[in-house]
Amino acid sequence: MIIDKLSYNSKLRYENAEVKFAFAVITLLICVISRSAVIALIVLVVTGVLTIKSGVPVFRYLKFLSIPFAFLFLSTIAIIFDFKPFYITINKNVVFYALNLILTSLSAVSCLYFLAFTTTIMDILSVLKKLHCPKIILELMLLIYRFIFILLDTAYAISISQKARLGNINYKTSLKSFGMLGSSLMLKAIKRSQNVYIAMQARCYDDTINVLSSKKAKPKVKHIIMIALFDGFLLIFSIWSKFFL
Amino acid sequence: MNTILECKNLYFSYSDNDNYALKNVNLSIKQGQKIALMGANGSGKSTFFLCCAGILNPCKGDLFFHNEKIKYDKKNLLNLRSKIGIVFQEPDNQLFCASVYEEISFGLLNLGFSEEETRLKVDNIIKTLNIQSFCEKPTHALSGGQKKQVAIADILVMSPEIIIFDEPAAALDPKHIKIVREIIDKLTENGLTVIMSTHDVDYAYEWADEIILFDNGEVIMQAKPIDIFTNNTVLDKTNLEKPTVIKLFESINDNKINYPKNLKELETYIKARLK
Repeated sequence: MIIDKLSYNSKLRYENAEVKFAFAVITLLICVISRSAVIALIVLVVTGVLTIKSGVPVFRYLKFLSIPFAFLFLSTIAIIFDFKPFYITINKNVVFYALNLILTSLSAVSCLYFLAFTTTIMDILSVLKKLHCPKIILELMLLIYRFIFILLDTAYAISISQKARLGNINYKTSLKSFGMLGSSLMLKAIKRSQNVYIAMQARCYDDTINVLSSKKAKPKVKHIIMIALFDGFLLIFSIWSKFFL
Repeated sequence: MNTILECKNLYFSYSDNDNYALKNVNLSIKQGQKIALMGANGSGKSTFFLCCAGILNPCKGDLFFHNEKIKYDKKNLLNLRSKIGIVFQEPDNQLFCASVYEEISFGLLNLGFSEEETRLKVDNIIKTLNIQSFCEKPTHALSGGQKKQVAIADILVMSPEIIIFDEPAAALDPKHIKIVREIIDKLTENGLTVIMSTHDVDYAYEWADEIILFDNGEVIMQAKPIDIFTNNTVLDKTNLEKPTVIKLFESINDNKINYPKNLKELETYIKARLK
C-alpha cells in the first residue's frame, strides 16, 4: 500500500491532523461549490505543490493524478460530443464546461490526495472521532484498514506458492489458480476473524472497540492563519467571479 | 506457595459429540511457578489455554482460580480475563488496531481505566519493554519479532496474575527469541505465574519449574523437568526428545544422578572430570 507508506514518511505527518483535515475539506468544498476553473487551477497547483513538498515524488504524484484524469477524460467525451443520426457536433461552450468539470474534479481529488499522502489513517480516524462520526463506522474502518494488509500478505503468499508450482503456466491454469486463491482467501479471512475475536475477548472486549491514540501535535497558529487566508481568498474570489465577472 | 489455577476432571469438546479436545484434565499450578506445557501439535494445549481464560466453556469438570470456582457470567469472565492474559502464537491474530499505541491501550480501556491512567500505563510498558522505536508505527509495518513484543505489551499492561504464552518462540529469529525470553525472565523474577507451551526441550528443561505433558487431550504427566526428561516412556508417547544437556550427560556418565540443569553446569561437571 504505497499511499500508506507515503503518509508515514511524509514531512507533514507530525503536523496537526485536524488542521490538515480542515484545510483539505474546506478547500475541496470551496472548489466544488464555486465551479470556477481559476479556483480549481489554483487549488490544483497549491495542493500539488504542498503534497510534493511533503515528500511525494513528482512522477508518482502525477501518476496518481492520472488515474482520475483518465476516468474523467473518458467520461467527458460523452459531454463534449453531441451524437446526431448523421453527424457529430461539438460546441465551444460545452468544451469549456467539460474542461471546467475536469479541473474541478481533479482539484477536489488533489485535496483528498493531500490529506491521504500527509496524514496517517490513525490520525484521520481520530479526527473523525472528534467530529462524532458514528462509532460503528470508525470501528469498521479500523478493522478494514488493518485486515487489508493481512489479506494482501496472505494473497501474495498464496499466489507465490501457486507460481512456484506452475499455477500460472497458461491462461486456463491462471484462471483456475485465481479462483482457488479467492476461495482460499475467503476461508482464511473467516478463520482469522474468528481468531481475532477470540484474542479480543481475551482482552476483555465488550462489544465496543475502545482505543487511545498517542498524543498529537498541537495546531500551529501560523498554519491556521495561512489556511484561513488562503481559503478566505478562494471564497472571496469565487463570490466576486460569480457576481462580477 | 498457594495454588493459583486448578482443573478438576475438565472436559472440552468443539463438537457436540464425545470427541473431546480435552479429556479429564486434572492439574494444579502454584503462584509464581514457571510452567511449560509440552506435547505434540493438536494435543490440546491451546484449547486448555482458552479454557483457562474462560473463552471456551468446558463441557464437564471445574476450573478454579485462587481456589474459587470460575463462573461463566459476564462480570466474572471479564474479571478472570483481566487476571489471566494470553499472548497468542500468531501475533497477527492478536493485533487488530492501526497503531501500536492504540493496540496497547485497548485492554486497559476495556478494564475501565481513565484516559490519563491508560496513557500513563501504556507509556510505562512501552518504556519497560523498550519498544519506543516502533510505538508510533502501524502494526502491519512491524516485523514478526516486533509484533510479538507488542502482543506481550498488550497483555502485560493489563497487569495479569498469570500470563500464558502460546509458543512464544514460533517463527521468530534468534535475536527476537532472546528478547522475548529476557522479557519472560523479568516477569518470572517479579513473581508472575508464567505458563508457556513450547516444543523447545532444551529451553523447557532449563527454564521450567514444572512441565505438564499433554497427549491427545489428556495430561499424562505433571512433574519436574528432570523427571519428565528421564522418563523414556512418556517421551516416546509425546514424540519428545531429551534435552541436549541430558543426552550429553548420559553419554559421559553412567550413574545418571545429579543431572546438570543447563550447559553451564554440564561444562563444570566435564571440567571437574577432566581434572
